[in-house]
Amino acid sequence: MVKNIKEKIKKDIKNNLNQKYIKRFLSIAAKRPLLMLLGTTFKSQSDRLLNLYSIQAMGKAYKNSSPVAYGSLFLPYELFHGLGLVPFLPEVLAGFTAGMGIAEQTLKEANSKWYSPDLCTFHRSASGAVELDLFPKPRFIIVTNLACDAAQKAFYLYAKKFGLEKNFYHVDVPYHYDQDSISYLSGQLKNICTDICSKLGRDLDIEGLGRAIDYSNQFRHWGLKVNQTRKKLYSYPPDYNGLNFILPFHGMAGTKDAVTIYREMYRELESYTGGRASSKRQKRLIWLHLKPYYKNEIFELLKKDGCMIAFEEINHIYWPKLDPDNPFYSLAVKLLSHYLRGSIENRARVIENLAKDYSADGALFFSHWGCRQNNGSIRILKDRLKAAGIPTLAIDGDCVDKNNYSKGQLSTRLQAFIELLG
Amino acid sequence: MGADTDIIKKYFKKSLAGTKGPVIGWMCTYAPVELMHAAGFMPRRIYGIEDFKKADGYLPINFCPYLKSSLAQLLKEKDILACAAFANSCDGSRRLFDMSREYLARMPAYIIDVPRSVSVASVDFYKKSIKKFFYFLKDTKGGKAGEEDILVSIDLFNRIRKSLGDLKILSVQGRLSFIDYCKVVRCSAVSDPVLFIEELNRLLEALSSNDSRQKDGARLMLVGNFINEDRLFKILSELDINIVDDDLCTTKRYYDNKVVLEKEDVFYSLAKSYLGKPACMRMSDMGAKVRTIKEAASAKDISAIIFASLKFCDNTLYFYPLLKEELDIPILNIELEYNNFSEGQVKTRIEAFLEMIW
Ligand code: SF4
Ligand code: SF4
Repeated sequence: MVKNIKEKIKKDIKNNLNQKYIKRFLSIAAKRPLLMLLGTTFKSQSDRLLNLYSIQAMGKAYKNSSPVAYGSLFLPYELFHGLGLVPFLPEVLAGFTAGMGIAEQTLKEANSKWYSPDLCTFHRSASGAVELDLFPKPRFIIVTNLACDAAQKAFYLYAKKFGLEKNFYHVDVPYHYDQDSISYLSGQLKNICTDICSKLGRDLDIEGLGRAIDYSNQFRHWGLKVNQTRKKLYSYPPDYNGLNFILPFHGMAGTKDAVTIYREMYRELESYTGGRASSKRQKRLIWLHLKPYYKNEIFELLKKDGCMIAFEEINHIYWPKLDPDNPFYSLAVKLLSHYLRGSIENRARVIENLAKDYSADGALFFSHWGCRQNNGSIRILKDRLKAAGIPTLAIDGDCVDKNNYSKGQLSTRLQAFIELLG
Repeated sequence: MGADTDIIKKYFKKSLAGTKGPVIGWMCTYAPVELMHAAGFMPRRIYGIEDFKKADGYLPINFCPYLKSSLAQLLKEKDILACAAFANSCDGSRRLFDMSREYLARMPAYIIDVPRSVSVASVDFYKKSIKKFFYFLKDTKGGKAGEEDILVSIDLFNRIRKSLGDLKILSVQGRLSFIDYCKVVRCSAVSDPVLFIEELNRLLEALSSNDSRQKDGARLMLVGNFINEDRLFKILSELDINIVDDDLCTTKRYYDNKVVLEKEDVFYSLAKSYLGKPACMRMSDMGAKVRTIKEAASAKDISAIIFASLKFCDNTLYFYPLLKEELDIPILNIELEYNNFSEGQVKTRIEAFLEMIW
């Protein structure tokens, strides 16, 4: 029944691929009674909240009653919420295009507009969606070069498409982490916020930013507890998918919703601790990079072979507690603390620690076609993990384009790897 | 790549052989050679080597071929290079720097942080960034290099760049071929600069007395990234066309940069001029880049653009759709992979394009 409803929604959107339909669907789905009803269709609490809040957030962006700002994934969204901007994350939406089965259309559209097939499909699919006019019209476009070159380029093209070059802001995250970088970056954040506020005819709301940072700290607090709890789990919690929380982890940082999601997630995961390990210990894996967002069998295969994802790199809380009285400084520090900034040394250190903290037996590296920053580091990370006694399997594939996925090949490689883990 | 034609052998023997001081390999036009030279290094640009199979084990198949061939060069020349300088130009170059740190740990290496926009704050940031680079160079090399040395180097490289600009003019006048022009520019980045400028000036003198043999064909502009493909340059030289302008990492974006001393601050002056030189597609304001290309095209009466891009360069791949959309003149896109260059195919495509536009 639940499956049927979801499949029907997908089919309807696929058959009515235009912004008007999406808007209409969201305006109905994002209404509280329907949202509550929809909520009953999700099996786990975390999944329920994730979906409900995501629909609400998207509904808000499509409604366009408050200024919408496109943002790239690794921006500090506390700024958006603090300024009263409604964030819209094209990369996350590109993941949805895969999940909804419409990526084929968006990618095809991008190809027809000269976007090379060698580019990352998160951006390519999002570009196709922009070309097809599926996304809401933004007022501002903000992007950062963390973690890749692709984002800043793709977002500029969106700005061009919408005639928003003057409202296009690039947060230039430096390579090195030092005082000069913090000043340069915090200065940029402040200038961007001041400019946006003046364009909106508002004063810079420092208190609003402080409030968003307070929420962000609360979200961080529960996020850390979630991550702590996961160390104690003997098996993967049913209907939980740690690779799905990209929107709350990034786009909702600075909101009460993110606090609720992570607090509830903590409670839910805690309820799975305390049980005894089953007779056969599951093999624990660390998941590196993202996953395919279309229907695939990777996780079933892993489960069948007695493996569990002990932790996903993307859920690592990498930044220190923020200071609400110093929003720009704090958020510059948050950006610079990211392990994908600068040298691979940062990421290697994080992964080595995660492997240790989560008692990992191995690591799975999803190598998404077109992601230079990620794929260019596989060799080093593999060697580092090997030296730490952690075998790694790199799975070549694509997170958005299902045409690069082959179940047979994947299954053989996974099995061989799992056997190697002993 | 490929054998040097007579012009190199005839004019640049000495400067190519000259290796005064320990060699520093450098990459990216945002790495100030003046500082390397002033610190007592012999700057030699990393162009990569033709056989880069060795890099396959380190970097994936869909990775910038220039960076892969550069990694192969670094692995091969690790004992020749005293040091290496990288710039934070793109995701790929960040990874190349990581590789050098990881697998060539004994070779001192540095990565320069280069901002992606041009503003008062970014110039100031870049100034601090190159200053740190200079301290690194001094630490590595030892010695007492100071601002006086930097001034001397600025003057030297300003002269070299000015003369390379003059060389371009002569090439447009048809006094030397496009391929020879490209080769001389390449030579300037791998040879002893003090000897090079003398040899270049001698060449300029000789060329000035050559007859101007401007071709009748179309006036074209070549735009691209790290294009170091002699086979392409040869095709372009042999066709009845004039490459009136070339906006490449390997040509204009490297030498079209005059450092003007301002505020009596050498680091500030370097930072300002390097950020003000013809922009790379890595910079965030792609619209400004498109505008400069369009302005150059209209000022130089250019009838079409050949867009040559190394495969798997995100900065360039995203730039192409924008440029294509904004241009009011035809554009031909040629994607290059070092080990997969089909001379016949490329030539046919260019010829077909020319037929269409001319
Ligand atoms: S997958 Fe890689 S290239 Fe694509 S958006 Fe993410 S970091 Fe950028
Ligand atoms: S050609 Fe592109 S990918 Fe290669 S080094 Fe230059 S900017 Fe980077």
